[in-house]
Amino acid sequence: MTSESGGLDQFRLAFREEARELLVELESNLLEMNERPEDGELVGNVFRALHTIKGSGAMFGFEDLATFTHNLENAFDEVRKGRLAVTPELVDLTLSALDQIRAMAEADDGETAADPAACTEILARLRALMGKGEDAAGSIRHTAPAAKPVQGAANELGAAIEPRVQPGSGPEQAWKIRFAPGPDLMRNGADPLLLVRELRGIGRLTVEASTAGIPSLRELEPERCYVSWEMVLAIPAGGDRGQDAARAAGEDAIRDVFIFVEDSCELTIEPARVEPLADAALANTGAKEPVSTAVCTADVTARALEEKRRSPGRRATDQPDSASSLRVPAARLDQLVDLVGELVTVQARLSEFAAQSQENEVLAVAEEIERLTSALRENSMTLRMLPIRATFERFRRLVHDLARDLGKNVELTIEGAETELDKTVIDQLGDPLMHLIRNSMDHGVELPESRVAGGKRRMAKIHLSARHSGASVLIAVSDDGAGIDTEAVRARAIERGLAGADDPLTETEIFSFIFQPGFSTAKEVTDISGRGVGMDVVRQRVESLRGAIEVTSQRGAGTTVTLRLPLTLAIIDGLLVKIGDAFFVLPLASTLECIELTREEVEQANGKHVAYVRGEIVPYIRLRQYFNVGTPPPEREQIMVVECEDGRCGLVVDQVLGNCQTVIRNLGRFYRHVQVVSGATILGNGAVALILDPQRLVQEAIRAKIQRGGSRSCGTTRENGHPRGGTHQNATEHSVGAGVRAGASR
Amino acid sequence: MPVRFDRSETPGVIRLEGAVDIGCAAELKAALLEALTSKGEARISVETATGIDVTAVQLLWAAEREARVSGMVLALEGPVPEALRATLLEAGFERFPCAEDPEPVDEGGE
Amino acid sequence: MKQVLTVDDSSSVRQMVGFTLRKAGYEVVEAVDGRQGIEKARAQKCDLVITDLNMPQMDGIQMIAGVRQLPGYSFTPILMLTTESQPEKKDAGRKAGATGWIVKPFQAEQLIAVVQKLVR
Repeated sequence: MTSESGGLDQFRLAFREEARELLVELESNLLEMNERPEDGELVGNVFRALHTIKGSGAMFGFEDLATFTHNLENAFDEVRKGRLAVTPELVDLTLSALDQIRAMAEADDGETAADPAACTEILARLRALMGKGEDAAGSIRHTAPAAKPVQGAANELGAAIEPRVQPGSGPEQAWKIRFAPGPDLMRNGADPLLLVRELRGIGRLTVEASTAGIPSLRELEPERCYVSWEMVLAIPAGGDRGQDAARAAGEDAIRDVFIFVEDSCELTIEPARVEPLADAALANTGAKEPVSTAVCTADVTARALEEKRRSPGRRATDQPDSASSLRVPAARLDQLVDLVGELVTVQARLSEFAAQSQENEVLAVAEEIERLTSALRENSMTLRMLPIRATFERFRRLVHDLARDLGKNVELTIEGAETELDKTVIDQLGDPLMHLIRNSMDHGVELPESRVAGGKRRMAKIHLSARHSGASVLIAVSDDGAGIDTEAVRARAIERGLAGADDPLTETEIFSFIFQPGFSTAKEVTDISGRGVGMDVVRQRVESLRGAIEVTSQRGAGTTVTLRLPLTLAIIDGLLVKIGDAFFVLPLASTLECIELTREEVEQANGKHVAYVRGEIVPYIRLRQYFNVGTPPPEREQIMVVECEDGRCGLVVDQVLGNCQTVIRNLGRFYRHVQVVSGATILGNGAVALILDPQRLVQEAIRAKIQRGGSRSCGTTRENGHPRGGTHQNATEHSVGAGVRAGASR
Repeated sequence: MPVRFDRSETPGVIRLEGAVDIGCAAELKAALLEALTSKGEARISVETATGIDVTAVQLLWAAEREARVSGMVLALEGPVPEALRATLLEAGFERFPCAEDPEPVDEGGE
Repeated sequence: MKQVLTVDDSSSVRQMVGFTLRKAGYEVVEAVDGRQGIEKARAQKCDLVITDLNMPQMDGIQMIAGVRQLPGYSFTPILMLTTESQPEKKDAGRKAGATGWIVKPFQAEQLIAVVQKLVR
């Protein structure tokens, strides 16, 4: 901010950012306008947003954008004044204009990203629409490009900028100026002395204040100016311009000085003869008092004043910005989070060394650093949190356009838009949500006629919601459409060989087929949801965010797809556990408690993998078996009880080492298919630990069980399945080695 | 407060501080009216003023004129800051009101 | 140092005004709409107010009238930013107590020149 070169580029970027936000706001306002065409507040919002885009655009060099937007602004001004009605056509036209504005705002110098033909057409249609209005012709003419301000404005701009007459040698033109402030001039905040000073900036000024009008003290109104001024201003005539042009420019420059007070003063400006400095003053003193010495010293004084006026400026640039929030490029935040990640790793090592050293002072420092690191981590994470609003809002447009294209009546409702999520998650959420909404619009929502025939509201509803749930955020897309035809899905699954003809399938299992690549039950392929490519992309994307998808649907009543996403991606709180020689991390958020499992208990359970936790049966998965760890188990193992979608489940490990903050590292492409592992981390001692995804572990176990033809009851799967009592015999087909030895799991 | 009438001294002194402008014009008028009722002599100090506008100038002007008519002395005490002097010169006033008293400047009031 | 209050719902305009005036040696306070503008003016005496006219919550004209009522603001110069050159806007502004106006778009130098016209 203090950089001297901060100038225009910085503002262009700021404008671009602002335009993006305004366009999103505009879009949702326009769409709401479709539903409530009479809502004056919406019209006001739209007008104001267009007005701001235009005004700021013109200021920061986006002239095309400003000119184009100005036309729209005019149209909505007409609407505001009740001269133009809000019609679906106007809304659609404006929406398509927004796309062009967006392109213009994103365009870099000299490059036109907008489609000129489309722009011309939009303007032509807009003009036609406004032609229906009463005063249309007038307002169109009024639309003259904003970049080239209309008549009056040009003068006003001149106030300061326009060719200020350049001082220099050569012939001079002289003006005699009489300036008598009216009663209100000073009450309105203007200061005559500053105006006189401003005249000095134009040329050589001789000035005389007349005090003749000052009444007696008692009668004097303290806030009214009684002094008037007689001045002679000599302006360099300026180079090659014709004399008339030069005179006109000169007079304009003088008038500009008084532009704010024109109406509250007496001002006469007349040409005067050019005369030498002192003579000029003498010649024009019709005054009572003797000629002042001011004439001679004015220049010196002016220079001194100039000096004085400038000096505080130097201090000024160092002043902190008093704005209460600031924009930071996302990349810098990413960098910060990366650095904090490194710090967390180093801190873990430090804590480890400190623990080994047994020195109290070192331990104290290590603890302090641990505390600070933890605070820093949380703090930097919150910096990246953004409300999901913008992502949600932009679907209004999608729903509007699709509804029109499909001939359906759909309203989009939004809930929990203020829910905050990590920026990375939000960025990657747009596509999956779009696919889900398209899918709902295309396959879920019925045509108005069949809705009415089925006794439903003609207007279908798509509901987008977001809410927090523990360390996750739940994002749901619901519709009140036809629901999923489970029989059709099952038939299609059997047809595609995804399931056997006689397989007993739960609803959840049937719904999961929807997310298989290339799976579609649509009778005809449409443009909207494409060729069944959408849903498996959704699954992949959500899973790459370490999220999960859940579908519920009721025939005839609608479908809800819920995405469960982690709040943050980069660092998690975990529990460090050990199995054999290998380390694993379990996310703390999903861990409920830890209980002991003795060899005796294992034997008593008759090969069933269940434990009794305060009278409740909890099935468990023996991770040493799952990961094929060859060493013999310890006498006492530990069951980590985790909460997952299918209920409580235990994960059996050898040893629980304690809490740890963990920076998640991706395993890389090669291990991408290993779903039960969500990443890896480097421990303080340099060892690598795999971060487990309990949810997936349990799901995989259930799936494996089903495929082996066992019972479908998910919880206690293994108890009545294969006799698998042995600890390290009978490795499952999941052979993810602890030393990052990975096989294909699935 | 930019305008303070110090009555503890004899003669009384109107002290003008900081920016003496339209915001305190009414106060200045009241102070000057009071000063004009005092017998024989009153003083004005602008030593610590940092700025002045035309409302103050015309008040001082009017007060000076009336003082002269009634035969009392209304004079500046202490120097006029350069910034104020410059403002007035720049605006075409030939002198600071109350400043060019026939009496020598160093006469003071002390 | 002279305090300038800039009131605009456009963040880029606020940024531009703020940056330009700070560089020219003024202290700048920002507000996003008329209501906040009045609050900030009340909280801190400013030597100049520059306000947009079209704003949510409270528009510029209302704000100008409101600021004029605040103690200490009877004679404070108030500039309105306007893209409309319609005289009725300006008149409304003047009636509410505005001192002058700047027509958008404007450049940094213009802004400084107009500000110097009103603040010493």
